[in-house]
Amino acid sequence: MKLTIGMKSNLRLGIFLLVMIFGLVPEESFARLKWIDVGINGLTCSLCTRSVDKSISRIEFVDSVTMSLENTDGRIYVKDVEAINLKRITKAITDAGFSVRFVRLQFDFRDTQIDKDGFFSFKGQRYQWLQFKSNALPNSVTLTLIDEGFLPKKESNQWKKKLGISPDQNILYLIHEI
Amino acid sequence: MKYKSVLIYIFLLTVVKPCVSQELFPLNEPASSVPKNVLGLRVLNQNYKEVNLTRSMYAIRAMYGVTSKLSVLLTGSISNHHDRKLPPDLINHTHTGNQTNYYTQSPKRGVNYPYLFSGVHLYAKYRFVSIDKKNSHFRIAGYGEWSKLAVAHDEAEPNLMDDTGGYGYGVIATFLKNRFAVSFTSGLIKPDSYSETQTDITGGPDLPTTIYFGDAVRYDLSFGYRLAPEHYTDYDQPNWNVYLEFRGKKYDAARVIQNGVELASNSIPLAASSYIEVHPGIQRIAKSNFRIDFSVGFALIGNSYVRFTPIWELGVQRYFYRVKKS
Repeated sequence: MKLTIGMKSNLRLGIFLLVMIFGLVPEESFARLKWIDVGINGLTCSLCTRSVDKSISRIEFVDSVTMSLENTDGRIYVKDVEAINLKRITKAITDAGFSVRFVRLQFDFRDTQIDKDGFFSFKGQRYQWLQFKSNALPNSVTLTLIDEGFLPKKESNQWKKKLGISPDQNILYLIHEI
Repeated sequence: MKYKSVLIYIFLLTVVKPCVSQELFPLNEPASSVPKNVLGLRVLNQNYKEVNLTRSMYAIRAMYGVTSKLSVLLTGSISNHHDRKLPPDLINHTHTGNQTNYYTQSPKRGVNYPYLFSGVHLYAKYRFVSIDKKNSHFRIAGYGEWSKLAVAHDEAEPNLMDDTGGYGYGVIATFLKNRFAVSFTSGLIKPDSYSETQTDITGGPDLPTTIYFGDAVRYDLSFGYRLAPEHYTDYDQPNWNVYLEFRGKKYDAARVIQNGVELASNSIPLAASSYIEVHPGIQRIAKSNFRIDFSVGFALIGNSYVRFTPIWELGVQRYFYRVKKS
């Protein structure tokens, strides 16, 4: 079938509208990061914990931090911003003089499309949810980062070896349970 | 002796009461760092009795975390420990015929000196090993220190910061494991010499006089223990910590050169020696930031000739965090 000039214009308009509707709306806009839990190694006193608290609180996208002095971990609430660079949090912990035990993200994936291989984007960062099962996607899920820097080096290497991944620098890897 | 009872009490507390230890030692620096971009201020006071007067030192220290591993401490101090010139009775003489023989002797103790600006002390430490686990860590840091003094020190023992100029370097290893915290520091001190001119009692020209202080090895061992709170709930809980710190030093004899000639020494404070002191201490931390330290030091083995014991020390410190978002 030959397309007339008018049909071509309508087709272009249709494609444009489709792109506008599905293309420009970022997939991550449906996901929500409810909070971030961090575990800190090496903490032994309230003065040290306070230093970590202050260091994390200075990050632009951090809304508030609640530290548990007894358990040496903390819960971070983030602002609704364009980009969240989680490496800023781990750097804040090491800048305060301590080490990261874990970083766990509490996601709300309601209405979110996640690739069958577990790939998804959120706030300017590409993630892969390892061992993702698309038929059992809970609304709210805790995912643990296994990249080096988000876990002690030894544990991170164990996970990478166990799951057989060769890390891509542009992707952060997540698992459901540790 | 009284102080031994105090030591036994602190040791018993350390062994019997199970809780997390502390490494915020009143006297010795731990291997841990000042957090990056954090400024700390500390005011120190030290007092001891020398014959009938009290020798005191007051110092103010600024601490800064340059990186997560590098910390810098700058201290300025005033004290009534020394005068601007050497004690006039440090160098004495005898006559053999027409010959005048000079020698050093122990100066009189308890001489009153005014409070003078002692000098500045710069200290940097770099943490190069960190093995962190939940509620525990093992860290090793290297440190270097340098001191410029404006007063005349007349003992062999070098004491950077408020008695002797010079430099030093060493390592610190700090280990914490639940109830047990220990930190060991060992280093060298390479003091500057001190020079002045003295009037020749025989009427000749002024005599250039230089003291070369002894090089020293220091070895310090600190223990720390948290008394309260038993369990942390918030930043507002007051912390009570007890400490037991041992400070040791071994140093070479000083040499006094006057007009190009090394003087015979008849001065005990200018001789080589070594000693170990023990300093029990207690600390209160308010609102997880405002530290007040108090310790008292006693001679355990040998004696320092720079300080008399007991030495009473007080320290007040707090950190200032940058609050601006970045």
